[in-house]
Amino acid sequence: MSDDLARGLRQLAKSAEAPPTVPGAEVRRIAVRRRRRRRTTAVAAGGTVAAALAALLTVNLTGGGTDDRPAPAASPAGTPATPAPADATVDVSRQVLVIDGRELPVSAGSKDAPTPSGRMTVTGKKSATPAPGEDLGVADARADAVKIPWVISLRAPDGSTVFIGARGYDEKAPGDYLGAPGWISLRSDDARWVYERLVEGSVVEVTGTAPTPDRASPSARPSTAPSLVATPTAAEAPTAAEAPAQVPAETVTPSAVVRTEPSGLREAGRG
Amino acid sequence: MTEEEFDAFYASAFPRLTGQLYAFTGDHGEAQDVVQEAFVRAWDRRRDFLVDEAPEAWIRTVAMRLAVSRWRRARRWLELVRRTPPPQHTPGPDPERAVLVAALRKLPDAQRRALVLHHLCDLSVEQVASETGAPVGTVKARLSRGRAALARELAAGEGEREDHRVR
Repeated sequence: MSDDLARGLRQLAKSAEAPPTVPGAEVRRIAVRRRRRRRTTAVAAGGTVAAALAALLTVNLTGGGTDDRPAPAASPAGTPATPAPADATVDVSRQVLVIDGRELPVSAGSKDAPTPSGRMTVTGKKSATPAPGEDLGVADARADAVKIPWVISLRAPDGSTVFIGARGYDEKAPGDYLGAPGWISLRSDDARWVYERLVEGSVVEVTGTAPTPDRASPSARPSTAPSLVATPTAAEAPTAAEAPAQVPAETVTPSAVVRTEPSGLREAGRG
Repeated sequence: MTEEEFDAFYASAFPRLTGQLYAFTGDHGEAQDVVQEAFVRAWDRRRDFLVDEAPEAWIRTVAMRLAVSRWRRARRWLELVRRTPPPQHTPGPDPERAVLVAALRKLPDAQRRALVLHHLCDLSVEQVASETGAPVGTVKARLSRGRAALARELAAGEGEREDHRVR
């Protein structure tokens, strides 16, 4: 069997060999740009955190149930033992991200694909994930090359990964947008704003539960908001039987903090 | 490593590594993507990269690690749910190859990685152990379990197919 396996694998590999689409010089250029960006981020970090703290003292944070939530000491290694003021908060109920005194509209979570709650730590940043010449091979049915700019990764209290990023595509279309599990999406400009203000180690607090179908109308949002079409999807009968116990919003007060079950999130998130 | 050396290394190793990563991921786009990202990181960290005596192994390790990272899985999921038009497909591989790719994808990452490194990249068990950071015994277990699982997958498929002889 081993010989056949080796032969099969070699044929497989041979069939997929292809010259690079991006020349070596461009690869080096990307690397240099990245290093430069890392340096500027490190320099800006000091001022950013100080400004965020000052803003937090004046901003009324929702979900003030810090006492209701399980102690942060239970969170995995890496998150601070003594709770420091968060650098940004995400209120899933109101679908906003509050940072530096600004309220930015977001799409976060839906009934079938909730975003985990709690204090999270920024673990990394990527200004754009390049997808050069990406086409699909055998197994994947769809998906095209997509650039997702201004992505920040966070580690949630349960250890799962959450991302903040720009939606990047057709932001005006009200079409259906599934709140992807583990993603908090903003408009490109807003995503960039957040990206420039959070650094590795910044703390983001996520509270609230996804709103009910009644909030489907995008025009209800104050600014040019991303279409909140996570909600029409939630309006359908919840088919995901394994979806975590998300109670309808009318039985939960907006300021309550709800811990979502991590297992459901992981199932939904596995590509 | 000078810029010329890097460019030459990149041009010669990229196709080979892309092929190997395709055997590992079963996805052309993903394979090219992670290999390229690994090269970017190599240039970014060329001091550490040069200390390593096997630059190609370094690239491959980084690329494989990227391929299994949760970040990429989540991003992929996000791309899949967006209503984007279907992409142009590469010319379809022959059925036997498709069967092998599908069977490989059913294996856990660790087993698949061990199989690819040992049977495709021709690394010894000890080399696989050092490249993956796992003990030799674990690598051996992954190899034997991986082969057994693959054989089961391929045999199960064979029951459904009449024309293809796949071992």
